[in-house]
Amino acid sequence: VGGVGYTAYQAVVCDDPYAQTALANPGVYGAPYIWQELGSALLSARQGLSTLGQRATTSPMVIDLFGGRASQIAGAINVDIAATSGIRADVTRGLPLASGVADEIIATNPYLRGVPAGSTATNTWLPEATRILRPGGRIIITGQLGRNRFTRVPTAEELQRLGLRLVEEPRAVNDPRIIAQGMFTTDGRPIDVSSLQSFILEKVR
Amino acid sequence: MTKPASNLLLNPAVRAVVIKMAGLPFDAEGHKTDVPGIADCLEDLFALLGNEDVGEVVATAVSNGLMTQEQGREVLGIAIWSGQTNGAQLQPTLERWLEAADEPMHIGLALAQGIFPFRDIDRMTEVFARIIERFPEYAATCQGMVRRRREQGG
Repeated sequence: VGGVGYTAYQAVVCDDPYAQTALANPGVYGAPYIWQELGSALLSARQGLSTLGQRATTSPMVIDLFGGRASQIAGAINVDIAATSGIRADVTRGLPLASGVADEIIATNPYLRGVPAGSTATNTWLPEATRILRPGGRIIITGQLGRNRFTRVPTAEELQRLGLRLVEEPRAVNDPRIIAQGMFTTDGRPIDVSSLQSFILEKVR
Repeated sequence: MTKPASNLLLNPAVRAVVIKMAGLPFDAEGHKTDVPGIADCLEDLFALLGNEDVGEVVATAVSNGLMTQEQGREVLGIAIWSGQTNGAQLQPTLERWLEAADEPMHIGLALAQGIFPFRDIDRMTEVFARIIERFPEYAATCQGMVRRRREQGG
């Protein structure tokens, strides 16, 4: 365990590519899973912080939540459980980002596996997205709204509880940043953009 | 090997879930559809079937009058955004229906999912040409999908 901890230290603090490779290949180096997971999480967080550092002089901060392996939106920070670029994190378990840092969150085709019965956007990913959003910041949610439980428009009560308000009703996707993305299901089949709608929420407190 | 759907619907547990799902709030535009409720029923169905290919079960439910065609279409759409595979286990059945091009109800269900079938646009175009020849009522839908997929880069 100590050796793996040292490997994590080498990978994260010393930027050692061999140690990073070891952490990125679970099982290959025989390390206990929990250390591999911890090391991978630290690496992802560090990559995310590095990205944030590069953006320190620019604005606004746009988060591409559920952006997949890498964001296709110019200037956006990818956050996805499968990210290889940006921040690899599970939004339902908390994001390694401070509260109120994001100016805008773009959530396109959110899809979560293994969720409990009754899951919707409101009780899975939306609270954490709201936490990292600054007051006045916006969340653009896009998907097959009548079919994807993770894009359901929250009720008025849910919006009030989260501190959000609906500023744009569901409509055909018209944001060029979203239209320009290649959108695919997890196994790579293209999604027909005409089947998608977007709506916009704003943080009010 | 997957059991024929007609036999699966004879399973009381499967049939009960399908009937429960068909009774949940639904409207063709999706505004009042109980999407989380249907998704939860689908999770139960996936567990009963042992996989996420609910295509034949839903099609048989439509054929038997347990669901309307509109309900079947939306249930399959919700199935793609439920479970663990994002529709990967369902798509081969939808594509098989399109390739067979012999049952208009199947074709209607498969074309209404908002996902372009087949990994290759050329294959999709070829299959659609046969569908248009046999069922001209689907010509506009098929031609629109080919056009939009080309516009999206194939």
